[in-house]
Amino acid sequence: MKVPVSWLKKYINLDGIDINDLSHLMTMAGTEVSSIDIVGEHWDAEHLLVGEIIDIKPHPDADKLRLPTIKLSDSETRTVVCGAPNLYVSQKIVFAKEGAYLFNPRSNNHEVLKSAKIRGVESSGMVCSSLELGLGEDHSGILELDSSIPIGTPVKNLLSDVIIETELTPNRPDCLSVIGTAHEMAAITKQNVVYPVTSYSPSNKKIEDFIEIDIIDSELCSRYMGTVIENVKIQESPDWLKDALIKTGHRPINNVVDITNFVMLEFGQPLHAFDYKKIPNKKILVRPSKDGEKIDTLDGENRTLKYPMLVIADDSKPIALAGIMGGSNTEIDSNTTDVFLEAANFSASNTRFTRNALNINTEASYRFERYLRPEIAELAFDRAISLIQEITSGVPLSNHIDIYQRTTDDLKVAFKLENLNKLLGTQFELPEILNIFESLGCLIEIKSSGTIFVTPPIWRSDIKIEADLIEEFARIYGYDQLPTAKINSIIPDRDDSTYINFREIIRDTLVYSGFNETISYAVVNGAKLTETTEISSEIFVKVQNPMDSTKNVLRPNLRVNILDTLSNNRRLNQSDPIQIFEIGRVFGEYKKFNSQIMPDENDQLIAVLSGKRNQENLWDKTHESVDFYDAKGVLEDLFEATKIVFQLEECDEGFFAKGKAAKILINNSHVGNIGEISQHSLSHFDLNESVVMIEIFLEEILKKANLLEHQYTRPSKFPSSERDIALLVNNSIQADQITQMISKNSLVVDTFIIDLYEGEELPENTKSMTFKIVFQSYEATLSTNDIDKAQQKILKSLKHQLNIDQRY
Amino acid sequence: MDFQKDSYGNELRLKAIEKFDLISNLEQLEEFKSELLGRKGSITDLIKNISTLPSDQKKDAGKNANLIKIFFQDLIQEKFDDYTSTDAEESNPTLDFSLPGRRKSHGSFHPTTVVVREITKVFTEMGFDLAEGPEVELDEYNFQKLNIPIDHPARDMWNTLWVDTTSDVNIQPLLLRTHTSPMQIRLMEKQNPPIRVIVPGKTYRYEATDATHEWQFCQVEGLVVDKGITFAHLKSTLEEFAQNMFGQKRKARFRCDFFPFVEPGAEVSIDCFKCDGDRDGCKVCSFTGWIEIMGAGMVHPEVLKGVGYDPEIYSGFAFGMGAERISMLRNGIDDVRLFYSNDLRFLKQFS
Repeated sequence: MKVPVSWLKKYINLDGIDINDLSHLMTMAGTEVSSIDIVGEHWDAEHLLVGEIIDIKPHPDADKLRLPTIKLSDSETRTVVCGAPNLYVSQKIVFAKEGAYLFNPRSNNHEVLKSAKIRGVESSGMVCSSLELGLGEDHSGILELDSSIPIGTPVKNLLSDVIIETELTPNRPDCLSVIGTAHEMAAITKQNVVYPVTSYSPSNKKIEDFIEIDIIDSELCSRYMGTVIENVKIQESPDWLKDALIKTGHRPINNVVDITNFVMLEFGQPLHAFDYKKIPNKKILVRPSKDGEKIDTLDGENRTLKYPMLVIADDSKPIALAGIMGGSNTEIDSNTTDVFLEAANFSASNTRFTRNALNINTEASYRFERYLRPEIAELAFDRAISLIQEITSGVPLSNHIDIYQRTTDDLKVAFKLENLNKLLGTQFELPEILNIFESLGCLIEIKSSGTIFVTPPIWRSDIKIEADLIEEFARIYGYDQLPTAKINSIIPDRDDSTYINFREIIRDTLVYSGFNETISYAVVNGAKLTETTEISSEIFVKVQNPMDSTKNVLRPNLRVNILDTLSNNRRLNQSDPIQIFEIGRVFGEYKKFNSQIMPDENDQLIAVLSGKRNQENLWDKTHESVDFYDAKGVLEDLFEATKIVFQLEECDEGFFAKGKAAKILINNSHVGNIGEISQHSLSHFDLNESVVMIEIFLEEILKKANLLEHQYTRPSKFPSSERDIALLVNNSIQADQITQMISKNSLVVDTFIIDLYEGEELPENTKSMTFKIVFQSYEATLSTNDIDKAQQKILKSLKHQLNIDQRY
Repeated sequence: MDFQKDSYGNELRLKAIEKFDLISNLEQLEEFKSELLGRKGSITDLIKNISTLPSDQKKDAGKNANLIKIFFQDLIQEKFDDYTSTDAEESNPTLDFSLPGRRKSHGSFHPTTVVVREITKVFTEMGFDLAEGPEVELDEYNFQKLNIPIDHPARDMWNTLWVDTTSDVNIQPLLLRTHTSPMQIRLMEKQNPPIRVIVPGKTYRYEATDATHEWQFCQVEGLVVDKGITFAHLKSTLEEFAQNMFGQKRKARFRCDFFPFVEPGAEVSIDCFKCDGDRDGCKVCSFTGWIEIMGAGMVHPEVLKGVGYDPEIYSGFAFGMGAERISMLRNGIDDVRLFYSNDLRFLKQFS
């Protein structure tokens, strides 16, 4: 909220207080001052003075221009060219001499004023509008000053101001007002707040003869005050009133409406003025609307209402949205003579419900939904009546209606010194604390039993429990002044962190083997998802109000994410190869967790390799693009890092290229997939290259794998020997089958394939595979003879069981 | 040479050694090698000649010739190595140290991972445990149990992405968690005090994105509950974190702030690590000298009661911070949207 210091000074003495220092203290105490704006920062006392128009002559050459003569002192007058329509003799105005620094609406910049010839007439200086002075937006005419101001007064002394802007937390509606802000400043600077004097002369007429008011649901309206003010004269507001509204960012409308807005800003209590004569049958109902009821609101919208939005209604239709906005059917206009003034307290949650449902946010709803105290209504009500009489010469009735459902809640809060010291870790004495409570406007009662009761001031709706009082003390005392202390209690037991450790090892391993980690958004495009998974769209979990309506499905796997990322980077001309991964949450079917029905969330890993291979030293250099075995190498790295044994089994999911993908199994449980993605699937992502992928259900692995500490094997004292054997193998046989068979020999400590060859000179349907076999014994150095024997045994069983011949 | 007289090659050996001693450069060595071991070299001839010897001499002569051959081969090789190594040193005395080294290509961690790990490390060293929780939450946990009722204005602090639950009337209102704070409730419901834990995780807000706003981001929540936990503990713990994270000379500043689930509530700032909290400030601290890093406060008594803890016995503090914000401050990243757009040219900078 914007709060002009000139306005604050009506209620609190700020002499000798530095606004910057005070603003800092307010920020530290929770009422954040987000900016301090100086009005008239560039004005100087010599060039901007109050003048009086003593003569106006027409311009010889232009109908719309006139030549006013301005008296600045007994000895100094100036005649200038002026285009403003609202000039008259004896008017007090702001005169800018040549050299003044002003806003120029034509160039949209601040400039030094120079003399100029306008349509042949020399003009040195000018009469200023609000816009030129930087006081407001108005440039339709010149700014008119109060006639009592003496000529020659520097404008700087008269109109300059400081406007502080506060950014308030939702618990402090009291500070959405000038007086509330003054109270906050008073607590910090240990001063008093002086309220404006309200007094008016009523007629002897009775409200009962004018209107009848009925509250249908007192839960939604705890207080309703109303009266009629007769014979008002609707006009433009006086300058001081307009000035106050403009400085706080409001547009003046007419005197009655401006007064209701002014008082709202002054006390924080929204008010509404109806044209009394437009209320038929002189009956007002405060009631929930019926479904389908309609109202034209003051912003020109036709709104359809539903139960239980609270409305102010006449005997047949709504005339205002309670606490939000008036209806056009009872709007104050230039012909209004009698005003019905309302000051009420409407339910915070109902106000919020209504403005959310109708999507309107007004100054009134903003305040009501933050819980206002009903006590403020009467202060604002009296103030508004008094101003309406003063400014519009209207006459109030002798009495008013006040339907007040006083809350039975005890507002007193019991307070114990020891609880404060216990929560803050301090040793304060009572007087210091009570002083601060009093500076905040609290009433203190000390019972004979020693119990202390603190009653919060009527402008605060947020102090309800002892902890609130402790915060009040702490914030005014200053959080920074409070002591610090190390936690000295024992460190609690830790939970099992096996899973998180495991996941982080996986992350490390991928990064160290050349992968770039990505993190993408949790929602994906449903159509793309359907193209990449066999998960039924019926179990997709969807977002009701997504940021992007084409992406509303919470991802059940990470495939769309990683392929989108790959595709986006290809578009940016990233050079080969790309190796990326993501570890993230995926969202499965709804499940019951205890009694809560929620989507089944799990972590998954996805990694893709694409483009040309950049690694050397692979046994197979025949393919340039990455293939299945690049992915498998990564998988082996991952599982070696976490000591997990896995198997692969063919996977026929259509997302993958046929025959080039496998399910990853651990103890026969499906924990992921590995394989080459089909060109068809890739085409949905504008990818035209080979892409291999690893997908792992991370949490599943932990459930299935035996993550016992690895047991060590004692190394043999004796040297090992190696032999290479070339085999002619039927194409249907997989390398695993051969290594398993070789490993069965008790002298074999390791074996792996070192060459794979497929060529035309080989018999049909066969391939040549060469294995290195490492022999070693724990008992002795193996002789050539021992090794020959073992090798023969191996070859024999290969022939016998897999029909494999040695190739020479 | 008369091989009949010198069929064992002894003379040849002596003469060759004399000649070898006179060699002074690589060229002469090559020439010497060719004279001795080349196709028409004298040792080659010697060996060829063995076949013409009487059969009783053949064996010994052969053995001898072979020894001579090996002897000179070694001698020549030794000298050759001498020459070539000295030559290399003379022609190219030092390496060009500025040439890039041969390295294995490494990948990169996402900047969010980097900062979350750092924050986690600082807190685990201070005795905090680590927990994680669901990203889709019940309204009840995200708001109501945190003292934020339905239609409460504080809900405006967290614009919400709602999960479409229209398909099943049995499902309570679900949302994408707007903060990691619901885990405070889940942790307290699961166990009794003492609790000292942090919870990193993704959070979501229905918010238009710009350079400083992103609808998906990562928070780190913290919760400490025990007998006798005070605001002084909150201040000390968070200041210690700030110093371990941003440097030992950092000062933490605490000001009053509002979060419905804490009372008193605080906002924590540190003096700027770029300009050391200079009065005029710098760009990093928006010229204020202070950088806001998290929200915090004493756990609200209503929240404690809600999970069945007696606020007369137990007290605690909680805090929460945005991970990306800290990463942005430290690495000078000026647009939060870079985090989840996954441009490798950005990501590769965090290896």
